[in-house]
Amino acid sequence: MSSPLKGLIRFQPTLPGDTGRFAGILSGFILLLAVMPILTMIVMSFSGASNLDFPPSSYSLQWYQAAWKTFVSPDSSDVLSLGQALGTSLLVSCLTMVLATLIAVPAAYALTRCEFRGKAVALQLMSLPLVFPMVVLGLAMLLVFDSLPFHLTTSRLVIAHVILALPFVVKNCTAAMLSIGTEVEEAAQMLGASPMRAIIDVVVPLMKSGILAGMLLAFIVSFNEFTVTYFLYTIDVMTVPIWMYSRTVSSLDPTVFSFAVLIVLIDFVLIWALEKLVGEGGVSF
Amino acid sequence: MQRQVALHGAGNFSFTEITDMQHPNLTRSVGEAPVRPPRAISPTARAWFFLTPSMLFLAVLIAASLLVLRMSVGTKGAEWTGFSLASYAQLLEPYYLKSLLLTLRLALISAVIAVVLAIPVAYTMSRLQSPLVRRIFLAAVLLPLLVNLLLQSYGWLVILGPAGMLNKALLGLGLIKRPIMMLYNQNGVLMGLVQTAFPLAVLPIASAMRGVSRSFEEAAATLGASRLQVFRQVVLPMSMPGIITGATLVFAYNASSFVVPLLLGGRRVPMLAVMVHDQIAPLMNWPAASAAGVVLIVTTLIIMTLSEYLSGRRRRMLEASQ
Amino acid sequence: MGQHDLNRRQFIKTVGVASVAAASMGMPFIHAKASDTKFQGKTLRLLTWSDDTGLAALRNIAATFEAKTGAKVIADRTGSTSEMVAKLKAGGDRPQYDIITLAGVGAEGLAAAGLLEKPDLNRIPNIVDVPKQYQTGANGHGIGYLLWCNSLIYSTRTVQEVPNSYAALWDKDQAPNIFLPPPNWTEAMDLIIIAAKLAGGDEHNIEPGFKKLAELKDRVVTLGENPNQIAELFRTGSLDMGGLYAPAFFPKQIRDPNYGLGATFGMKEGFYTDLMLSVMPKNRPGDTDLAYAFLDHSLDPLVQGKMAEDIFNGPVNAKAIISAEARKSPYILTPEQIADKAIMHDNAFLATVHDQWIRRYTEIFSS
Repeated sequence: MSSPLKGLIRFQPTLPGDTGRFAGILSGFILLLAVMPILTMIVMSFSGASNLDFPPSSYSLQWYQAAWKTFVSPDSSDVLSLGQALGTSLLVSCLTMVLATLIAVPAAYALTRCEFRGKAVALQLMSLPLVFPMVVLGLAMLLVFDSLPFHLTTSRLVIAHVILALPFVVKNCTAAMLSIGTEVEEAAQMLGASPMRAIIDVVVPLMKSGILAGMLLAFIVSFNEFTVTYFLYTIDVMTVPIWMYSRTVSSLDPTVFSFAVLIVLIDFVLIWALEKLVGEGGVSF
Repeated sequence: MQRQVALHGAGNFSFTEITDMQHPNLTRSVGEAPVRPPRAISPTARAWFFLTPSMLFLAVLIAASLLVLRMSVGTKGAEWTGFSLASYAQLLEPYYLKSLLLTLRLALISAVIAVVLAIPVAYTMSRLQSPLVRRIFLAAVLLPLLVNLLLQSYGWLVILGPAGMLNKALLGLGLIKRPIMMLYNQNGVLMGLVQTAFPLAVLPIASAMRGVSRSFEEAAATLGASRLQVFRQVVLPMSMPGIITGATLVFAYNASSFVVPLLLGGRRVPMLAVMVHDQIAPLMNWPAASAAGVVLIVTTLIIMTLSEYLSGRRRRMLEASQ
Repeated sequence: MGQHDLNRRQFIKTVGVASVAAASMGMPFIHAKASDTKFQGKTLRLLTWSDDTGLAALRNIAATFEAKTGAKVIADRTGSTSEMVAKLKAGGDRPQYDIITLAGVGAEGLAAAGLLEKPDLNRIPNIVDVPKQYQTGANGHGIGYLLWCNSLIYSTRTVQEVPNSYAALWDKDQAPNIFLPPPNWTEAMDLIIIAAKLAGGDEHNIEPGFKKLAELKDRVVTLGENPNQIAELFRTGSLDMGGLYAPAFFPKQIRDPNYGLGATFGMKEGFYTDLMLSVMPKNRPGDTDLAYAFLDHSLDPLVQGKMAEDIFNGPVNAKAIISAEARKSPYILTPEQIADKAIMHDNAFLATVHDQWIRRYTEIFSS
């Protein structure tokens, strides 16, 4: 991952304000360290041996074949297949991403552009999910949902995930909004736009990169959330981390790494697509 | 903060507002919102209108928080009917105080390290031209938070374990006599905390640095500043709100960390969330767990408020200096 | 995020092709009995562990029960962690399951919360073959169905003689690097008692035990929360000994010479066990007779023998049928060995000291 990366950095134009080569190489090195355990894991998933010797004595695709078998012909003792779990996960994550963004943008606007009574309280509430120990939160949310007179299944996962993702999305939108001076909005209004139009047509597009960063985080938080989901899932609505958990607590063969590589791949593709989507519009990520 | 005077309807204009109308971009008030003529919708109502959708979701969280608060003053077996402050009193014992201090210390150190490492990464990311590199960077930043930590812990074992690659290399070079323990102690936990929370530091800082217009840098460079000077005197101060946000996020996230001390600390680094977990199961003492949870939540919230205040002040100073 | 609280009741999924084949053949050894049609078409909802104990229970108990009675068993196989007990307690009064299988501590918790019904032992004929102390747990709310048996784990490369006493853990020369169970496991409680006994105390005079444990501090590499990490540490030569830990965590690694992993039940002090229970929640969706039939079936001598061979744990039925082949394995315990050497701790007593002991244990080994 890192060698083509450093090569490309070297070919960067060195105009003033462009990345210095030093900063580029330093950050490449830091990131390499950060992903080291994941790289190790990827290498091990191609191991030809049955143990975790590193580096593997031989390489093969045997664990991918084993993983593929599980995927196409699930164990009859599994309540749900990985495919179903993946479907649920994607549905929940997409809904979470969209909902969290839709509610976070106006919230971020209120928090950055308005001085109002109760602002401190609102700010604290927004960051509450971050500081809640997850196990306590999962337990408390289960108690709350159970006390409702009606039954929720998928939607209670979405609600919980939106709450968990909200601080990330709001923080990102807030940071983005802060970098936009109030003057653009005022200028739009001077040119006759209503305050609402000024926000939707001028401020939001300028915030695009912050919003997308938030959306991405929302998706990722939701797609990988385990602890709270553990308390809230039901037998027919199971997400990938829960499925993985019931598969992997007991055994550690490189099949598990193959599944993890699959998840990494999914996330990688998502990041790629999103970056591409905004990259053409000139918004850097 | 300034509203268009025309929108305010008829009324007694103040001098400043008339000036503003003529030069909306040139003068900006600093600090408090300007005096405004009365409007149909109060700013508070307007703000809460924007906040309503998120508050609907957060209602579940508020209910959950109230439940936890109620449980924390209950008694074991009578979480909803009993009343006792014993669970809080118990937290004053050295066992829990030590754990709270350890938790805050590790969270703080991890936040500082994460931010220091995140600054060059975020700067690079915010200035990268090549989309390919940008995508790879972003993926590399996010993956450690993303990938199941249980699986990553095997990776760390292979690299840093007593018989891992690093120890083997050091032994081979004759630098050490016996393998050094890099996992299953506070250092191992600290490393895990920094690694998993790294994206929380990088993303807000990169976002803030992207907001620092390149023209500022170019202007400074034109005036003869070296690249390092430009970075230190222009980019860094102007992205301070993002840096503070990043540090706070990492701190808050790590203060309630549970999986990292479990897997990389070998259960020998008693952070508070681990103890909360012991109380929920197997001890089934939900009041004790809730009380410890409440203390953890309140402490983190206080520190976050403090940082919010700091970054707010910083922001106002920045705005004033522009 | 992540997979935490790796419950100790997790097994390596390697129970052998034979048992899987047996399951797919519909368990002929029990199929002959499929004559009773009383439960035809009825459904039993079972919550069991997600790991291989759960899988084994599905193969050896649920599948044979279906074959015998014609009833359908729907199994939720995700309840493996202690959070699951917390989850059950939180959502307590909702009828979801007819039978839940879990560890003694969990059953105590649910019983204390008033969520369990006390089964009538007269409706479980097979229970007469179960020694008194294994019949019930959690104050009569649970029916014992297997014994979780703990051993000393050692490296066959560095430990020359198979340990015959827990004192081996304190032998610096034989075992320079050791691991111990994490504080929240019942194994840790048993270890504290063992240490106390070695130092001349007992569970009611526990102070010497903590002092004795403290001697181990500098040699403890990790408190083994995750069996797979432990196996890796043994494989790479970073550990010499450890316990208490069940060999059932490592059936695959014990057979693989690359790991150099051994386990022994042969301590002169005996080996420590934990009784696993089946419980009946108060609110059940299904038929009560069917639930009792299932409890009885789980104690059937054939079923008990198969479970023991399958997952390396002790049968509770004294007449459990263990094959001659399996009797040769040092990891498959027979009813005779259990009667002879098994020690069961007093869950009710442990509940009174659990909190304090977890704290002391955590403090001693904090790095």
